[in-house]
Amino acid sequence: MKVKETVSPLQMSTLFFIFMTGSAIINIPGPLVGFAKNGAWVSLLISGAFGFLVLACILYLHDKFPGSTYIDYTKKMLGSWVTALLSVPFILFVCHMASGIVLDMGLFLTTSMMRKTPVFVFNAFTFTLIAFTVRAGIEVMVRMFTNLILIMLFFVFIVLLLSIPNYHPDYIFPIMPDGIKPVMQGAYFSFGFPYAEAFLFTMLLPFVKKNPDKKNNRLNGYMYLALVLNILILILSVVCVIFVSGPIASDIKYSLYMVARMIDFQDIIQRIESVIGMTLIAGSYMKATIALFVLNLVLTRLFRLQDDRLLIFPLALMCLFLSVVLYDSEVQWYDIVSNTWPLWNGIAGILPLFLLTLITAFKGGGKKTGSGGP
Amino acid sequence: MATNDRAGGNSQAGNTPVSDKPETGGTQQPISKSLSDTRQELEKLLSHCHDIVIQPSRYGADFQYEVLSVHCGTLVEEKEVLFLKSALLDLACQEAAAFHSIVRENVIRFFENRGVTSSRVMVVEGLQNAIQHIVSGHVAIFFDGWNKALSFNAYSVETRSVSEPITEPVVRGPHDSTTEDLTKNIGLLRSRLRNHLFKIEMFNAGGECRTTSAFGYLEGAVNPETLEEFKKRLAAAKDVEILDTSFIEELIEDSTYSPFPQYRYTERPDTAIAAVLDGKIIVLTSGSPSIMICPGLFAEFFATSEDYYYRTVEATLLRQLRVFAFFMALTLPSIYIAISTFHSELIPTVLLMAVLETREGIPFPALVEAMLMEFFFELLREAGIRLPRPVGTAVSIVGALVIGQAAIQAKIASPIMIIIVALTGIASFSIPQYSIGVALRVLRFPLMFLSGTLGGFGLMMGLLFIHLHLTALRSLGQPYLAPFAPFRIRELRDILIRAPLKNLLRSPRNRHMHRSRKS
Amino acid sequence: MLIRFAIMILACAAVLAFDAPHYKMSNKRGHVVYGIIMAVAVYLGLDYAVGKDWPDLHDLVDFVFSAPTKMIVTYFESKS
Repeated sequence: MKVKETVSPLQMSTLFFIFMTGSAIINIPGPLVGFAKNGAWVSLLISGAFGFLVLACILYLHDKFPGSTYIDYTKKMLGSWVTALLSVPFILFVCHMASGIVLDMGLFLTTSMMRKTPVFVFNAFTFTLIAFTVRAGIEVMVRMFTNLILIMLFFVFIVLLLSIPNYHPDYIFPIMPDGIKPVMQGAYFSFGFPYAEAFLFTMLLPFVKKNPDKKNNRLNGYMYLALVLNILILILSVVCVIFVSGPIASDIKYSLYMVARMIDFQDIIQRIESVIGMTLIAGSYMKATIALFVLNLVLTRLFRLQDDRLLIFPLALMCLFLSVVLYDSEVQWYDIVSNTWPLWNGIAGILPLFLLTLITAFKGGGKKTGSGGP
Repeated sequence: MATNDRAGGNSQAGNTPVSDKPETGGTQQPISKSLSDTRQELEKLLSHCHDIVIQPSRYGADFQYEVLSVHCGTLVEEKEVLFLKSALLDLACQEAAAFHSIVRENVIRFFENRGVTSSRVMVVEGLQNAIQHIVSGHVAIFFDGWNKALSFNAYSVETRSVSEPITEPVVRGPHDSTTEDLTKNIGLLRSRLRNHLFKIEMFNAGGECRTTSAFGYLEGAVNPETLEEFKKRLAAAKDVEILDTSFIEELIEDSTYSPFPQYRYTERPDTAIAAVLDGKIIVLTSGSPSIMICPGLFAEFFATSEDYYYRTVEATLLRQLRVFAFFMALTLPSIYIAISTFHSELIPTVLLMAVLETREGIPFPALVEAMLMEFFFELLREAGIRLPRPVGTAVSIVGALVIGQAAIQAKIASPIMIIIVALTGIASFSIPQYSIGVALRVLRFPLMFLSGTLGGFGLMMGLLFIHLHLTALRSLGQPYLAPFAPFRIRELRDILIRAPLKNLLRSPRNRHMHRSRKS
Repeated sequence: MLIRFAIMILACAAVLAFDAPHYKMSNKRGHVVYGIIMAVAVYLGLDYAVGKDWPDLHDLVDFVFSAPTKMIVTYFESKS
């Protein structure tokens, strides 16, 4: 039976939630608390608001151009050459993202679980799995990830619950000891990871099943709901981390892992941080799969290729090699992820998105023939 | 009134139904009007079939007319042949004409117009058809001067009687099972589902076998798309020899190389009927007691019919036990290898001391030890299937003592490993469907290997690969992991728990499928 | 270094072997794009195999963004 590659609005929103939360829940709290100290959750609120703006643009463009991906409607509105120009940073960014996520996971495994294995082995296995998952298609991806995220969230909640004996609620005060600047820096950081990365979904929304009568209201509603849930869960995670370790949480990179390490329940449930390790692997895998899928889709649409499965393996190979080559030193890696990433993200993805939204709003969109449309 | 018409090729008495429609492949040689020619043809075609008997006889006032009766001696019961033949001729004489004026033409006209009241008599055209009837257990009677033949059903071969199912016994519930006789099996099914909406369609397989097979479904419950897909695949696969239902499975399944089976099997009529009521299609073949249920989804492999005969709480717990047993059978050796080799910090200290003590002096790493023990266990299992009964007990003693005890004392394996391997084996036997157990055996070794080389990460990668494969797999077009994969909460009510029958039977789940129900 | 080289060759060969049927079936544009991506992959693979730090994406990003990034970071970290 031929598989129809569409997903329901609920599934697409779940995918969005997974993309935003999957690896953020492990990676964000540490550096964020490092920047913003006790005000980390305020940073999340600020960058979450930006996230809403980004999501609004994405949904607006999807409304105006149903069934077209980002590349398609950019071509329509701005012409092929500008599209090609704009897609170069886009492609480079998504490559960087996919390699970065897998590299991050590989580094985590090498440093904490299995020190003697070279990073290449981890990345190779991961990219093989990712390539096969992308090959299976978006419908299979969504189904699989729904199961995984449920299991993941279950474990995260268990860890947060079991840490209750270790909580010191007074650590949350004072809220902004050094003024607004650290909070802004935290917001800058968390804007780059994960909220601005949502622009990848401009490529994915066309896969949603068309609903002729209700327009896209259900999809919009679900997507906003997913974003709200994501913000809430991240805030919860950050707050729990602050409760456990206070402002020194910045020193440890994977805070939730450290939180799990401190659980000592009746002498039986101890050292369960491996569970969080598994969660990190799963979350990173899911996010990187979506990134590779988008990358493959962008290139396929850009060059109008017939076979959309042709490029998956070479792209995975390229990202694999990129991921092992990128790592030059701990300091440089940390610097890029924390400081440069939001700017890179903004230039490659958000700026073109805002530009396109404005132009579309001006020119009246693709459905009606506005004055002087292309 | 002649009752020779049958609905679609079925036949009443206990035998293999033969289709009345002419063979589509090859030209039909007509039965010649001259009896001696016919006899020559028959002898040529049936040469070297020494169990086929060709008997000439005569009838009529002065025994002037000749008939030829052909039957296969091993398939029919002798007294049936004689009794029916004489009864027929008696009837013909009395009903066709007065005794003294029995004339061949009258007889022929009588039979042509179906004047016989017995429903087991058919008129056959074409020599190939007649031969097909003969080898299916009919007696064919050829008349001189008539280009058709009579064929009546006298099939009588010993079959197994209905007994307790060998592979699926239950404590509570019906104890009957299907046999090798197709008609009897269909009878068992129909008597449980007395509904004209329960459709049974028959088809003849191709090749030299020409076995009859049947598939059944409940109209209104079955998904029309699934049925279409099934029929399409069946049509493409029909012209091969089919010796057992599993041949059909392999010909129409979605993924030939997946270790996971996509269809279920059962030998119990009640399981088959429950599946039909659920909207599934069942397939039977003559000569095999297995009923194939398609499509078979992953979650259904853990359900037995007993679940519905027990009460809710017991059934739920048993079901969850089976699911847990599945995961244990798949991953227990791998988890042990990963933890003992790479992640020793996960074991509580006291247990860790015990494990380390028992592992002292073992020359192999955990991976090799596990592979060795699992391999021995698989050998034992394979050997156990083919053991003649007298030797069985001896071998189990050999297996337990030699391999288990002696291996420990020779320090080839540690007691913990033996426990793990034994637990794994027991767990894999507790899964109702045998075919999934095979999948476990296949997948356990790569998982052990992965976790032996990469620890927890390798195990996780392996499990993710398997999960990916299961999510992408389809059974007759339906997603294999439904209702987990497209996550439908309502349908989970029969998977991990077994909701009370009030909620299962008259539920929207069934209602939306039963479109044209008039109950 | 030799091991890395061997691994790199193995990985490339595996990908090529797997994609051979797809590659044959696609059109000229597909061939070109495939070739470009494989070329980049091979370059990066050689970078990995050789072990020296040839120019890669990080350097590009650093080059473009390091100045603005420093500005932003100093802005944030200055006590206002």
